[in-house]
Amino acid sequence: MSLPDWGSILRGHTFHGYELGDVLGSGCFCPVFEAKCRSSGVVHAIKVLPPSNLPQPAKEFHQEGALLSRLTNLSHVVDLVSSGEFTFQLQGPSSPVDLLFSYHVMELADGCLEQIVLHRENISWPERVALWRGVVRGVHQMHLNNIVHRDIKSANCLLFIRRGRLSQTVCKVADLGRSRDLTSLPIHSRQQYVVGLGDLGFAPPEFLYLQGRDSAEAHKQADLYGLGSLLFELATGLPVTAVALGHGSDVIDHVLNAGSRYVGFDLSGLRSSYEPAYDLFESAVPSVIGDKGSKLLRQLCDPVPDARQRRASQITKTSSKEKGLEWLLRRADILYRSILQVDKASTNSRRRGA
Amino acid sequence: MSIFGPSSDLAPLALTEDLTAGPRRPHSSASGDQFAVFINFRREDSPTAEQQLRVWKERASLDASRARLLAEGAPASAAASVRLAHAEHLAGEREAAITAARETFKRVKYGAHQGGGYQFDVVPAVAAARLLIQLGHAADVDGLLQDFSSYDVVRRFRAGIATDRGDFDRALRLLQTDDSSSAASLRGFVYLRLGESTKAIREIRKAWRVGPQVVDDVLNLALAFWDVGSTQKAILYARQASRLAPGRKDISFTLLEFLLSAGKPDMARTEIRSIQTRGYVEPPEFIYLQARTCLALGERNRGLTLLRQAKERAQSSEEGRLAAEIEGNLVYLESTKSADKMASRNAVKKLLDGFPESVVLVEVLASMIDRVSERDDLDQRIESLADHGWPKERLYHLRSRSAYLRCDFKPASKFAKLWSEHDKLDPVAASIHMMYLGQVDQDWNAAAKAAERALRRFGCTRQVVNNAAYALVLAGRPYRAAATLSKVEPFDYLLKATEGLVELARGQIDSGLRAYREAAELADRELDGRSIRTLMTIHQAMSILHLGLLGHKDVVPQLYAGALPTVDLPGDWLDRPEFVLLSYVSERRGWEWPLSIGP
Repeated sequence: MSLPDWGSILRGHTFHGYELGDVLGSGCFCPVFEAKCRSSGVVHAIKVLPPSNLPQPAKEFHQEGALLSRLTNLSHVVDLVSSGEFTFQLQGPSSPVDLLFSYHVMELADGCLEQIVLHRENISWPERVALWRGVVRGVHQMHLNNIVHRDIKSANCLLFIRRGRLSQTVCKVADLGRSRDLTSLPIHSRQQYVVGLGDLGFAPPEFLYLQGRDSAEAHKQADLYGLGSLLFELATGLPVTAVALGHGSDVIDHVLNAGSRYVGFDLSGLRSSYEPAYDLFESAVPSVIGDKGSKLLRQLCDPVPDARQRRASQITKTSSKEKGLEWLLRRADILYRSILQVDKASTNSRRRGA
Repeated sequence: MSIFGPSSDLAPLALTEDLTAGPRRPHSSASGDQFAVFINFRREDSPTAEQQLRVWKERASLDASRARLLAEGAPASAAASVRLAHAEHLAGEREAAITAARETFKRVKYGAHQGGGYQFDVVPAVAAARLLIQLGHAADVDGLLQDFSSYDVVRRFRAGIATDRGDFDRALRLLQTDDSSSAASLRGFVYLRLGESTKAIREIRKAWRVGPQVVDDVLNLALAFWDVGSTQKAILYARQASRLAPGRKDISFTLLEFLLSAGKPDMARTEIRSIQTRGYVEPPEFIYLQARTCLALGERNRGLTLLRQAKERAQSSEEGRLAAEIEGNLVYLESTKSADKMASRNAVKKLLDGFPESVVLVEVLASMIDRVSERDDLDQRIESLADHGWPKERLYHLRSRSAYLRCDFKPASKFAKLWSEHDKLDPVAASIHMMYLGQVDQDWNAAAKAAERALRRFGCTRQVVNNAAYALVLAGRPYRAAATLSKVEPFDYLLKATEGLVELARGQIDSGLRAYREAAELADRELDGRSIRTLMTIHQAMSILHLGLLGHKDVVPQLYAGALPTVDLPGDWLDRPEFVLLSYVSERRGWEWPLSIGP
């Protein structure tokens, strides 16, 4: 089934004081436009849900709106300005047809973290760690609000450049379509939480092997994996699950062709499979954070979900009262400080040399 | 009294499938054998489940479309290209995945050219190379990586490929200058494969000094320690590996094999219980190991019941050969208490008709044959196994047994040596080898050394203890032999007879002869008690002659009075290798056959 090119069709359309401009990107189903508010002159991003008989995109779209409206004014989660619906008249074969679209108006980003990942050679390591810390902070803010993201990857993180400098850039978490409000009833079927919903190249292994669960703990563990996966992306440019497990469509076929009761396996058996990915990571990061970074990645991307959480040995008297992902923010700070010192030293020596 | 076949606690319980993990190459993509678990996903429960999985597949296609756009939009990005390769692979677009993976190498070179030609972004290249190998293009990868070979991560990757091809020299050359933890662990694996276990241990420990303890390294270290005879350390590291990856069936089975081989069935039972608490689906091999544990603990009935369960589980999972091999083991165990040996052998032969390629069924059959005349078509069956592609190392046991049954003891000894060197987990191999060293090669000092090695490795295994004590006495170390014997209890007729030998060697003539008499009484309760008593009488005579006790006039009357009374050789003794072997030894030592002690 081919979907209409809504980006081209809607470009230039005006509704509720917004004029749709260029397409900035599109998720699986929903195009995102640059849009100018005629009254204020502010340029926003507008995500549009086209009419469709597919229930999943609509569910995810409305879920995103509902959750973003609860997460306003957080420093590292993208801001929702407003939501609504508009009608667009499309010329049918015989007569015009009125189509109903839903939309979210959001703050406009300067770019997507994925662009950085694809050209990561252009940014320094302190900048990469700072960007990663921003996403950790965004997820931390979500967790404190009892919301889990469940699909963390660079493509779902937006960049907001301050004072025109990359070093001042804020990285915010976006694309909350697959997120879950832990205080309300599930919006998807149980199976959808078992298999996850995100990109399989980045998905935690429990989703690939149908061992996901709909519990606060399990969702938070999936987010920790996503943060580890993002650290791996920033270092290598690659999706960690795809590199580690190297699955093809066979993994899906295996499940589709399984008997009435799917037999899985203990995920600890996958630990060896992740070693080549860790080796690539260690070869990609500067030696000054190689050990710390590798330990952190091994923890966050452990195939066993329970092992991703802060370990008892990592809890000290002072850190025992930390909430959410404060412990991970602290470790991100340590990484940042370590890499910054070396970066400053090398800059100074370059200056002296010059 | 020495044993040249499996004893009751070491029945030839074996499966063709090697349950222990072999050395595992670190950083290979294979994840190892895993325990299965039933998971909470019933497709028939909900009509949406199937639909959800379809959605999953559609998403993979959409992700691939998106990755295509990204790769087109970032034509210089090697990362974009390898991401596309992975996405295509997930979407089932194999050829497109191969094309994108190959494109990655071009982009890496282009990127370096743009940046002045000195720095390659090799990480995407290695990832693309891994994917190409997975997609069946391993032959091209080494060439594609050629330009990047100054990078350690690439050299390690190429060393891994060389290792997989068995080119260990090349692998070691590639790793020569690499001080990383990954390189040290790979070198450890290579040395382990080369049989240089001490070097392997050194390298793996070096890897741990600079890096984390990786499960495959821990397993390799356990195997290396087992190889050098450090049983306790081998068990320690196997246990550590099983804690790191509790779901790894191969590691858990290795630990259980170590514990059983080391004569620690009680600890094996504890491990089994620990595995059972994790709620895994118990595969037939696991139930079989439980059966072996029970048998080693002397719980024969429970052991047999578990073997039957294992067989049923194998049958229900349509593993025909495995079921037949478990059945073969059952027949063997039941035959030890049955008078109708012929019926048991026929039952195994019938199983072999269905699975002539089963090396284990031939081993079971060979263990059940104890007459020269019954050898029948054993040699043909062994040759047939070789024709089925079994490596020669796997057949050493059978060739040794076959030579023994032919009463061709020199080749039997040679193959037993090879068998014990190849199968370092088999206490039967070690204990038979040490007996051949003494009785056939007449080198009791070498036998005693082999005994010490076996004791270190197999500890309290009854058969090893028995044969080791026997070898130690005849090498002139009766006190060490006595200490060895004290490790096991209760004594069966074999151990009791060996105790008699030890006592005689220590100059305790009365208690030695008494032990022999008690052993004879215990033997009388066995199915073939009369023959065993005869064999024991000859063994006793041989011991007295070997120890030169008849040269001590003060003890001769005691010996004449207390020794087991001479029994006539069985009429068919020439058909029985155990008697022929003793006559062979007597002839070589210049003793009159049949041996007897009396005025």
